[in-house]
Amino acid sequence: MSDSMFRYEKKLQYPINIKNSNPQLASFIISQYGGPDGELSASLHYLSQRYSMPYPELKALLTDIGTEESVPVGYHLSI
Amino acid sequence: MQVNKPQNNAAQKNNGMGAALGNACSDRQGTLPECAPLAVPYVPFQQKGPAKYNQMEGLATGTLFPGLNLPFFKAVEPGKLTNTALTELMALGFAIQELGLYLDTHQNDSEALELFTKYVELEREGRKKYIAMYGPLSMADAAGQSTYTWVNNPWPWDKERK
Repeated sequence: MSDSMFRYEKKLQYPINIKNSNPQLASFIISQYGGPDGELSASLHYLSQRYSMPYPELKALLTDIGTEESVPVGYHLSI
Repeated sequence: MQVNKPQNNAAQKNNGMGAALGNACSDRQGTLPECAPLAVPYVPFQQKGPAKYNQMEGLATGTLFPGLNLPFFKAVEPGKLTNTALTELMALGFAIQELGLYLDTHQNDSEALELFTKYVELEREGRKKYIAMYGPLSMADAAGQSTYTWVNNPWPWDKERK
């Protein structure tokens, strides 16, 4: 999408501290993010739906929620 | 089940502007349109001037709004975050995010807009100080140094060395 811009911030939204690695749990969590009905797909839904949204405040809301849904990438990729 | 009690904070002192604004429902309730299209489900609208946690409690709780703090899961005691420059910055960032989403649908809530502005200013200051101490948060922050510090460790997924 030419009008979307991904800008990385070298910090997380919420502090995490993983004490033990757990690959099985990691696999569940990553499918919550990237799998069917995951956040990544929700993010893209919102960011596509906004193009046909007539109300300005809801264009903003879809943009902001769509952006927010993509945040967990920072966490899932750190497992 | 544990009842949610916002601790000692803004949430109780500032029970929102709700009553002053003449809201019809309590802070934990929302409004529905009087007349609405048939067969369309509605989510109650959050009312103007809702009570808010302070930014640290907001980050620890997962929402800035006590009215949206729903005990679906075992409540985690908020306030367990260590106070560091980074968590303070995270907390401000989260509060800005929450208020921004609220303002998307409550554009005329001037009290919330003021608070949003205040948090944005605090976040900018905090960010400047953080960058001076720990290095760039965004690529552009690395400008003006003698070396390109963006590539330096640690990255967010690097374990902190204790």
